[in-house]
Amino acid sequence: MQLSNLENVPGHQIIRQLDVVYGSTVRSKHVGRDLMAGLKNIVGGELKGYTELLEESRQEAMQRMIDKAQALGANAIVAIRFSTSNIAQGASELFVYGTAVVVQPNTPIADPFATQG
Amino acid sequence: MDAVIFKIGLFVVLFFVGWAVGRSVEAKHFKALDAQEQRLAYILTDSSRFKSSDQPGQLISSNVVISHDYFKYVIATIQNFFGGRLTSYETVVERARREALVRLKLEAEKNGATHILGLRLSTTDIGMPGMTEVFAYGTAVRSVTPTA
Repeated sequence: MQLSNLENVPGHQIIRQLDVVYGSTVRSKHVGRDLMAGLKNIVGGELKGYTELLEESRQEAMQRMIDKAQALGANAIVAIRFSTSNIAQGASELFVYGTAVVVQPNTPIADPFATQG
Repeated sequence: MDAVIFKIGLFVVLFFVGWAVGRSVEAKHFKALDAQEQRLAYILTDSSRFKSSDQPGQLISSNVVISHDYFKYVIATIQNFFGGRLTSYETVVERARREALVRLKLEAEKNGATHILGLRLSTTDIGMPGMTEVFAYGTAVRSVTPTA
């Protein structure tokens, strides 16, 4: 599955446009991670536990989107957008959407003068 | 009475620990960022979504969750009372954003890419007090056609 957040897939051309596909997941905080985060709040800096948690969640949301695109028969998703919303105290929704399309690689057009003379 | 003294004592300890540790962590982070940004400067970024390339590309993303320290929290609370710029939080967000960009470029480097097209940056509130997430994504490509 080719993924791109541009209007197109680099190096490919869109031959068929299918449908908008999306995937989402709602995640809440983790007790163990939260305990560490409370301590980290004193000295500041990166909260690696949360960084990983959100990354995993986004991967899962993306996987759900890819599954939907595959069900439609797409081989690429273009114009992907991510959004995060805070739906409850300590829980956030990670949402990703894009347009499922069928693409084919750009084949360079053979130069008709290349073999002459 | 003991409880009040304990509370004040805890506040003073946290304030100074936050100030000392937070300052050194921040200085170290800025130094690391400067070095990495200089090394990764060859990867060019672009936020236009209409640009494309004749080479294959791939979606990449990176994120950072950052927290302020206790000292910054106290200063921001005071600044918040009077309004205006919250200078102590500005550096926190700046660090997170630069770190996210550096990680995105590292991801691009892993793919052997030299350009990141359609770069998008978003700052999200993850619903926890004092924590901010910066999320960056874009399409990494090996080279870019001059037009289109």
